[in-house]
Amino acid sequence: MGVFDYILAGVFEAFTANPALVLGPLVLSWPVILVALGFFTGVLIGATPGLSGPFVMALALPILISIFGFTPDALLPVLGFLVGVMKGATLGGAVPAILFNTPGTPDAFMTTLDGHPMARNGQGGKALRVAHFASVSGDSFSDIVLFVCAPFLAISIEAFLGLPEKAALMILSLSFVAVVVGKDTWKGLLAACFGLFVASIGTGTDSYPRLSLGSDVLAPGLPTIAVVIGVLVVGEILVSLQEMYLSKRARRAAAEQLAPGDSALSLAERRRLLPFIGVSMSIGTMIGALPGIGTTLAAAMGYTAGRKMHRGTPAFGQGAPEGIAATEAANSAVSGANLIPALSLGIPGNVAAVFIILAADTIGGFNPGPAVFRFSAEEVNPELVVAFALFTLMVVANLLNWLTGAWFMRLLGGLIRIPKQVLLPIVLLLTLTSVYVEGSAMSDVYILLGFGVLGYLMRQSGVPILPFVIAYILAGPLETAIRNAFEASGSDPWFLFSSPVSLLFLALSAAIVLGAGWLRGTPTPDC
Amino acid sequence: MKTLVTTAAAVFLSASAAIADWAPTGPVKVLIGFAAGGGADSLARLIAEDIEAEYGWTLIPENLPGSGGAVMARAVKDAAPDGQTIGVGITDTFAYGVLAARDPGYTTGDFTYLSTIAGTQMGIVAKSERGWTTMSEVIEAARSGASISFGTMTPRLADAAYYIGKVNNVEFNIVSGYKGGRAVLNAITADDVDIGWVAGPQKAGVESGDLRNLANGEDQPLAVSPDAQELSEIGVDFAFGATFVAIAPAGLSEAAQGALSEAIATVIGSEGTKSNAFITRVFALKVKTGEAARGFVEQELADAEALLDATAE
Repeated sequence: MGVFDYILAGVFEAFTANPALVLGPLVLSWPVILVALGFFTGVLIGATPGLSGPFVMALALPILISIFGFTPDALLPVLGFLVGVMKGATLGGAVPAILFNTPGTPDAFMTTLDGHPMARNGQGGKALRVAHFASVSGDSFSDIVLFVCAPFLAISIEAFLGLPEKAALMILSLSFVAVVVGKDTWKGLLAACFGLFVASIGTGTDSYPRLSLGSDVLAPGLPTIAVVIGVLVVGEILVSLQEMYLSKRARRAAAEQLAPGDSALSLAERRRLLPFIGVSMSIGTMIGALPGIGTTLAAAMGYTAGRKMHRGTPAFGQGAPEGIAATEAANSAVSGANLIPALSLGIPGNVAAVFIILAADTIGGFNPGPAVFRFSAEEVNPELVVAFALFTLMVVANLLNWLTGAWFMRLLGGLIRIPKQVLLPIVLLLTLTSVYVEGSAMSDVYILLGFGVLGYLMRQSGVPILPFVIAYILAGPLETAIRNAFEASGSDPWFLFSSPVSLLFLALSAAIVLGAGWLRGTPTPDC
Repeated sequence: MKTLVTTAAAVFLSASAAIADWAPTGPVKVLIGFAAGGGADSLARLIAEDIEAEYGWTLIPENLPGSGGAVMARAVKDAAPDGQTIGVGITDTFAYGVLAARDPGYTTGDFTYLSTIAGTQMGIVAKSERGWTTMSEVIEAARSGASISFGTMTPRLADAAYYIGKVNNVEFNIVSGYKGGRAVLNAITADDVDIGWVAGPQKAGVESGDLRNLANGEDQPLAVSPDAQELSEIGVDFAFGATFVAIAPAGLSEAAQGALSEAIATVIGSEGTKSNAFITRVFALKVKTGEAARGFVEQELADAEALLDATAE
């Protein structure tokens, strides 16, 4: 099979392989339905302050897996939903930022700077339009870069990197994530090391379960989904509950309802925004391709670049549409590019990628990494078909975004927002239920709560969560790579330093850790 | 109503009919001893799909890779013997695996052996562009100083690689971390290792000429390269083929054992099922149920003991 055969097979896989509804020649497939569902859920959740995309992904993953099962047919619907949520949440975050001056997601903070002044001037509808136009442009651009780069990168990695280089590359990514996220290098490294430690329980090649203390619960390793959701979601809920308790009562939602006003955005106006969108989406895509750096930094950098380019009135910060465009194009461009390291190397760069890798691991039949992009001619490589089907679903999500996103954003503007004291218990209950359903064991629930407390303590002491999660996911592949590299070298203790490329990667890792202060000259994103 | 009467009659009248009428009361967990995407994984998932289609039972495959199947074996051993948990792995895990591991956490007697499923097409594989045609040539290369890395996916195959080196006075760099033959194959294709054991997925590559079976690890000729060098020519008198097997915890009722064995044997043996098509494409069908399956595992245990003695010398 040639490249085009694979692309075609992927498109067919996405649209027809798993039909939900067949009307003559028209087929509506489950993957497409779930992308749409994920997208609308994502916009809704992104627009709800206090919730974010990873929340929904965490909740949905166990539930979707128990609905669709562990068959290869389950892979695309589940991945489609996750991709839909990822794209929708970024867009949705702009709605409350513009209309109520409260960003729904952290990366939408910069959107409030110009979005809310516009809304106060009676241009709320227009501001939403600008946000939508910029966001979708950035997203689509970043996806195209993903489609082109991921296979190319994967193939080059596979062709040029041997075992020690692959191990060194993973060490480099991990050091990068540990240093870049959070405010303190050593706390980041601590989180990453702790992730590696937790992952080493019950794993390894010896037939005796490592670090299991003779316990049958620990022997098969900790349940991955419970650990990740516990730290990410339950920890966050506990922190929010504490914040609510400390402020006694949750802040009243800003009741000020502004008329959306005229929402038309002319072609000339769109053209004026294009340079800002172009610069910002390039920044966002580049940042997204680096593991660990999130949308918030991209938004800040896009906004700063836009402010330097901008001439005339209104100035940035006083309701300039260009400000919204610069921010939204940058933070939306991150999402597609974020999947480049995940799909081509199997290295998750952010929370969304963590859930995509988790879904693929749990369902089976698709192992994100360089082996996916092997264009084998004599035999069909099913993983490659899945990869192209996933790309197709991302295009579907983008089309949906272009066609219905603006309308859906306006619709949300009128919705009453749910107060946190109602929202958080619901999310907690859903989390507990979904984890129990997925593993059907109470021990999973206890582990979830245990890691929830851990996540709370980590947040309280300023230890970043993301390095922990990424190290936890990456630990297995890293250990295998190191073991294999060591054995293939004929048990040479200097195996990691034997080739110039792996030396370079390791030197870079050391440089990143030591030069962390300089790297952190720019504002750091929250995880 | 008629079914009910028949069922009732069968339960009361005949033990053998009762076997046919045993059915799981809920979803059956199928624990797979190897990683997703490999041979054991595809095999188990296809059998599960076929049984679902044929019998209407619900089967939930789950991968429990690690330690050459031992993680799965421990999980199955600890499961309730109610027919709701079965495992799919290789006979290695219950023969060689029990002897070689420090504390495997299970013994050969801890299981009910439902059915052997298929035999592998085990060969030592290399890329054709390396220029080797037989294992003897690789050994020659190693003797003249080349460092040869040898990819393996189970402890027994790692021992086999060591043993091949030992009797030929060479030392291979044995890379033992791979989870499944497909992972070894990927490593060979990516030049991460020079040669490696692959148990069947090499077929397409060998047919297209990109890969070569340097030696035959089975006790009968390989379907795709019948002329591959026999291990006996390089002084090795063991066969290293693996046999896929379905297991359940010990103490499973006879009715449940009979029904599960029959379900598995029926779907893999019938032409036109997905599992049958897969097995005939990649492996070779090898169906022994009940006592015959146990006998097969016990024979492997005896062979494994002989291999361990030979490598220890």
